[in-house]
Amino acid sequence: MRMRLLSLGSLLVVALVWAGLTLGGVVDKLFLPGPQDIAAVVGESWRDLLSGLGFTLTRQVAGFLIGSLLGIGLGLLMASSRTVNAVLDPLVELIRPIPPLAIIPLLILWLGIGAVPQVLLVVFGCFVIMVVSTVEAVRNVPRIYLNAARTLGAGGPRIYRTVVMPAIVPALVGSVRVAAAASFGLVVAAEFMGAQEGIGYQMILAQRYLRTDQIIVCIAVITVTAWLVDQVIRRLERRLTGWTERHVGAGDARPRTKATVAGTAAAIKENS
Amino acid sequence: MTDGTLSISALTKTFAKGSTTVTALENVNVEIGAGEFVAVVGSSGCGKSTLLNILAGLDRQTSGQVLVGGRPVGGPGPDRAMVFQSDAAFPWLTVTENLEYGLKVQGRSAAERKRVVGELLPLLGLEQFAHSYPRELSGGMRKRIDIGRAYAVEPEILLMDEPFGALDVVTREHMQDELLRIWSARRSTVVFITHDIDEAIMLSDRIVMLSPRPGRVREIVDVPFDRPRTPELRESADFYRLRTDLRRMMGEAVR
Ligand SMILES: Nc1ncnc2c1ncn2[C@@H]1O[C@H](COP(=O)(O)OP(=O)(O)O)[C@@H](O)[C@H]1O
Ligand SMILES: [Mg+2]
Repeated sequence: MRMRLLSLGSLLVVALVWAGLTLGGVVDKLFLPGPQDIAAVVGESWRDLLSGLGFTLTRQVAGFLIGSLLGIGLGLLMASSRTVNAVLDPLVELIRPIPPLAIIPLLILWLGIGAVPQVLLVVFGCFVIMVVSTVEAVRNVPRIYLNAARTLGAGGPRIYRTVVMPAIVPALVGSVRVAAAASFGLVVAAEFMGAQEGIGYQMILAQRYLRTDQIIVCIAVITVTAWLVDQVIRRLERRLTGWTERHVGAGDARPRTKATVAGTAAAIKENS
Repeated sequence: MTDGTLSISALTKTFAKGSTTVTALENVNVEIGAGEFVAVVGSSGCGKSTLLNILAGLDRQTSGQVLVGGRPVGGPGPDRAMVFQSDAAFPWLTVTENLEYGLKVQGRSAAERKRVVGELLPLLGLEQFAHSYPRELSGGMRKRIDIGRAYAVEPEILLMDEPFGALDVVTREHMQDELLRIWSARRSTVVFITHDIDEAIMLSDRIVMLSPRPGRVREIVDVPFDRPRTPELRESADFYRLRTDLRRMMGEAVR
C-alpha cells in the first residue's frame, strides 16, 4: 500500500512539474507543449490518428505474424534435424547480428517506398528473434523428459510433437513478447524512412511543421498500443502456460475434483 | 513380449573424457529372474545410473551383453519402463494425461486408457488429483505419477534410479511402503538403484553391491525377510543386523 502511494506520488510529481513548466510559460511550447495543447491535438485529429494507427498496425501485425511464424517454423526445423541445422545455422548466424534498421536503405533501394519494404523490415526483425530463441528453447528442453518419453516407447516425431513442442511454449511466449515490442519500433522506423500514411509518417510531418504536440501524441498512441498488445500476449501466455511453476505454487496441493474429507486429509498429510 | 528376466554378462562401459577414459562399469555380471526385486547399491559415481541407462536402452555398453527375456537390448522398449531420480512427470500434462502417455504411444483405445488409469489412480492414492498438474502436487505425489506412468504400460521390467533420493526421510519411507503395496498388485521384475542401504533391505529380494572406480560387483546379498513386508520390519533386530553387515561391506567397498 505504502509502495503504491509512493509510485503514484512520483507520477504525480512529474505531471505537476510538466504542468508547472508549461502553464507557467517557463518553457517554450515548441519544445514542450502543455497538457491543454496535447488535449487540443487529440480533440482535433483523433480521426487521423486512428486511421494512421490502422495503417501502421496492419503492417506491423502482418510483419510480426509472418516473421514470427517463419522464425518459429525454421527454428523447429533446424532443431529437429542435424542436416537442416548444418545447412541453415551458418546463414542464420550470418544475418543474426545485422541490426534490422541497418537494412532500411537496402529495402528502399530494392523495393521502393510502400507497404512491402515496411512489412519486410518487421518480418526480418521478428524472424531473427524467433528463429534464434526457438532453436535455443529446443536445446534447453530437459533431457529427462526426452528420455522418459523414449522409455515409454515414443519415437522421434511423437517426442517432438508431445514433449518438445509443449516444453518450449513458455520460452517462446517470452520471445514473442520481445518480438512484438520490437516490431512496433521497426514499423515506425520504416515509416520514418518512407511512407505515405501511418503514425510514423504523421510524426515525420509533425516534425517538419514543428508540431511538438502532435509528435508527443503520436508517441503516446504508439506506446499505449504496444502496451495493450503486450497485455493481450500476457493473457494468452497465462492460458498457454498455466502448468508452469510461475503460475501455481509448487507443492500447493489442492484437489481439482470434488474433494472428500479423506482426500483432503491425505493431501494435508502429503504436504506436511 | 519378454518374460522379465535380465541377464547381464561381462558388461563394461567406458566414457571418453577429453584425452582420458573413465571406466564406469567393469565386467559386471548379474542374473535377475522374472518377478524378482533387485536393489543395486553403491556410493555415488560407481556406475549405478550408467548400468540402469544401459538396461533401459538409453545408452550402449562398450562391451559385454545385456539380454532381456533372452534377447539383446537394442534400445528402449515397452518391456522396460523407467522411473528417474528427478521428477520426470511431464509438467504440461495433468496427472491423468501423464499416466496415459505410454498407453497412447502404444495406440490403446480411449476406453482402455480410461480403464487402466481408473485402476491406477486409487492404487497411487491420486484420485483426488486426476486433473491436477504436477506442479500443484507435493514431491511424494509427483514421484507417484512417475511410478504410475511407468506401471501403466505394464512393463515386465521396472527400472528405478534412486527414485526416492530427493525426498525427505518420512516421505521416503512412506513411498517405500507404497511402492511395495503397488508392486504386490502386479509383480514385475524391478531393478532399484539406491545408495540407501535401509531402502535396499526394505524393498528387495537381493542386493547387488557395487564398488567404485571402476564400478564392479563387489557382493550379491540375499535379503531373507518374508513378504509382505510391513513398516515394523525397519525396527526389527534382524533388519538392524543385516544393515550393519552391509554398511561395513559398503565401507570396505569404498576403500
Ligand atoms: N555421459 C558421461 N560422460 C562421461 N562420464 C560419465 C558420463 N556418465 C557417467 N560418467 C562417469 O561415470 C561414472 C559413473 O557415473 P554414474 O553411473 O552416474 O554413477 P552413479 O549413478 O552411481 O552415481 C562417474 O565417474 C561419471 O563421472
Ligand atoms: Mg546416479
